[in-house]
Amino acid sequence: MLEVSGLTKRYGDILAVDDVGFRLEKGEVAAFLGPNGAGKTTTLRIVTGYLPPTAGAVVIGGVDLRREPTKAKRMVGYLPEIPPLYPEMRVEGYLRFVGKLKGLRKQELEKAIEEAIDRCRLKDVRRRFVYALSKGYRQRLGLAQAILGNPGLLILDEPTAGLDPAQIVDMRSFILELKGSHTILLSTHILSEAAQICNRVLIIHKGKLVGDGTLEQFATGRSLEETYMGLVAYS
Amino acid sequence: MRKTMTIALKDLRAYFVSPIGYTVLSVFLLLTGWLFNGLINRYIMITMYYQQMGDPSAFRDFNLNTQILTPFFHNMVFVFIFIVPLFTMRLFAEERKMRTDELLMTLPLEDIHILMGKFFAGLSFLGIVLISTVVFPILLVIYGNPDVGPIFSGYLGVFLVGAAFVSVGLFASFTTENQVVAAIVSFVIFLLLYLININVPEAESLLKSVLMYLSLFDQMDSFAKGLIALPNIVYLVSFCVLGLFLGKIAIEIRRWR
Ligand SMILES: Nc1ncnc2c1ncn2[C@@H]1O[C@H](COP(=O)(O)OP(=O)(O)O)[C@@H](O)[C@H]1O
Ligand SMILES: [Mg+2]
Repeated sequence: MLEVSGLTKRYGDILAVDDVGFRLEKGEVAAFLGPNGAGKTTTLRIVTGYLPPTAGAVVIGGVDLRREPTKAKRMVGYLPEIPPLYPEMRVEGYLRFVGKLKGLRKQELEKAIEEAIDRCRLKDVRRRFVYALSKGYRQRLGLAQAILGNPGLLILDEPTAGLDPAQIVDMRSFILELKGSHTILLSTHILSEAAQICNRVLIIHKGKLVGDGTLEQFATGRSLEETYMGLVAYS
Repeated sequence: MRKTMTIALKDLRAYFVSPIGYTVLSVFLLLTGWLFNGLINRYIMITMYYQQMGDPSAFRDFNLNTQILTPFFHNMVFVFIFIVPLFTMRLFAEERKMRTDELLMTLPLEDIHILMGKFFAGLSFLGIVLISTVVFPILLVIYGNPDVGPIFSGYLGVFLVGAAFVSVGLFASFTTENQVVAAIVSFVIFLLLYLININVPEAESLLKSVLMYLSLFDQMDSFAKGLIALPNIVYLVSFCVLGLFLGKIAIEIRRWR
């Protein structure tokens, strides 16, 4: 579903992402795990076509992102680090706006909106203005926007960051419900979150991919925690 | 086209849910109204002066069209210099500030959808602003008998010049996430375009005709006099295309930097 190879991003002197490559099969749920400043956001922005890479290639569902960006983007739902919302819109209006830009029409559009509202539990606030939403609901709306129209690949950048414990539990359960119907790549700096939601963990540190394996692989032999700390703590 | 219209509608609506739309509309009406009032007063004064002189030959070419409508349209274009940057500055800079550009740039959209959507939003707002000024010429028609044709051609000219302004303002908005910077950039460009032919040599020369042709503002002359001339339309439409083309380049630079 997603194939990333040789991905490199330079900001002037800073090497934010350094030769990152991995492959996600259809249906996989992978955590992109790393401390702050590791290069998670930068990588995800490149994968979604927001930023160009300095080098490397991204192939989504067999489509090269650079050659056919629009076709590739059709298969991706993206929740950026800061949910990209318009304060002056209503919840429903915002989803309708995004849905139209995703190319959905009429009944298909209305059905997709209902489904997203239902899945992200936005029913109670559907007529509210975005500026009046709490942080938790904003994040839900950001997720609803991403899953609108059921794209095959979901890219979620720290979906639980900045939420209170109850909201974190909600958000994790929404993501767990999406498991199976979507391929998901989510970034986090919380180890337990990666272990709880995902089957696969990609560890990134200082722009480099330093670990890649399934939960089972990490469970046998050294634990995920040991590996993570070993990789991230020193160097 | 559907995606373009979706973006255009969203941005047009955004003008009226924040104070910016109403503010720009009021300020434009206030300024043009004030200038219109000045033209009327001047007209009355001159009329009274000539009546006292009792010299009918002085009234040749002296009518509501030449004395009020033509300068009124020129005034409107002058007011654009200050007003257009105020409503084009937000078009893309705001998306960047709010981080919603990350949504627009990762949705399955072509650059042209974003560019034209924003352009149509600016054009529609310009149209609303212009329609709101129709009261002034209507007053003239009610209380006087101006030639009506130049009112239509004048508005067409003002709209086309305004569209050229909008394309430049939109380009400026693509270059920065700071709205104030975007406004200043477009303001400076408009001012340069306004001043371009102020220092030209008096005598007829090639330089003079080139500068006259380049000046966005002189394009208004024939429209304001009631003439819809093809070269002017071609000039103004090409100007828009150039502005949009620069905007397209600015998006591409953002995408590939
Ligand atoms: N626009 C930018 N300009 C310069 N440096 C940047 C920019 N964005 C990120 N960086 C740098 O790149 C590195 C990786 O950042 P980021 O991808 O945001 O990490 P993470 O999401 O894992 O916290 C950091 O050192 C950060 O300072
Ligand atoms: Mg980040």
